[in-house]
Amino acid sequence: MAEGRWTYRDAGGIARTAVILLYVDAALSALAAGTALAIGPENFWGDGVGLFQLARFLIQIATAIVVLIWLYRANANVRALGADDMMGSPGLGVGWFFIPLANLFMPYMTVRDIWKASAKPKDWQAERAPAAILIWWLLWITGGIIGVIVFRIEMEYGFKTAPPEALWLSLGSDLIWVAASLLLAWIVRNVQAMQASAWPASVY
Amino acid sequence: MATTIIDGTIEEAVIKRRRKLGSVFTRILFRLDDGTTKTWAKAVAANDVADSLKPGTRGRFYLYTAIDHRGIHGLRSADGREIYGFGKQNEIVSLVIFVVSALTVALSVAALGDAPLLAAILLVLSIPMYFLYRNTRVQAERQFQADAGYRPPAA
Repeated sequence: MAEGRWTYRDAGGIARTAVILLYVDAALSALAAGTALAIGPENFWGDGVGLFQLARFLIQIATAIVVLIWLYRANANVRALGADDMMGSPGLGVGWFFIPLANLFMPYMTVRDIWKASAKPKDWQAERAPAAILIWWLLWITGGIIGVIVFRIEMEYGFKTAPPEALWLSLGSDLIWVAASLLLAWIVRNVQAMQASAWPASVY
Repeated sequence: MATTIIDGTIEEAVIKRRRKLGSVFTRILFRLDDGTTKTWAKAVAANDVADSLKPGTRGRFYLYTAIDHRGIHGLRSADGREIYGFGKQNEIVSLVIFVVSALTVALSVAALGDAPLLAAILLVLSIPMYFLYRNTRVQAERQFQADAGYRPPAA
């Protein structure tokens, strides 16, 4: 099925991988937060924690790459389904994440529009997107900003000697990250399901 | 940026505000000739064009999108009207941002020896923004002219 220059390509496999990675990411963040709560953030940096954080970082990188690939595909697929008036291009939809200032709001608008266009491709602008998308984005931004602050403090003081306030911030960032990852997994699953139902040959 | 042509009838046109430089519609609902509907939400139009976007207007409509802006730049109606208009507000805003941020960066470097990050980012972003909006206007104008021979069938 093709509409204009876009061709529908099933993104079920990429979506499944993205959802699994987001669940793993959420579980690792919850584990980090739970451990810090159980033993106190000031005692968190014991043996093996560095390795755990490295593994978590690598999972987050892998998750980001797979989610962005899925975002590109989902954006291209709604165009193939008939949403010929989407904002920018699928490539720009991914590019917004890397453009300063624009990355504070344009990724949210891209995901929101993909949701709306997946629900009703030919006349998507009148559709309403769930508030969960805005909540996800606010959590994502907040978690990211806190994460950068914590990282800078830890770079300044060293991981094991960072002030307790930084560790409590890190705990907060982890909890926010859990919610953001679970919400994004929910968004990916639902968008993929809507696109699959609009394209009967797709199986998810 | 993209331009689109649709053939149909306006069923609903909800105007949000009208200013000297143009009008903003909350939404315009079209009934396309194939029977489906298409909504154009948060759309801008030059006032000449906006004045003709009323329920019942039938014909060919010329639409555009640029980043997160969308609008209607022309129509050829079944009753023989042929109207084109494209606001330059976004181009002007991009130029103003460029000039203000360039001055801020230049003065800061001269006075303090350092450029503020926000002004530097805005300076860099304003250049592609300006050309994107300008190219959209040029593309919209070409699209409308290329379709000059079209006359919508009478009802």
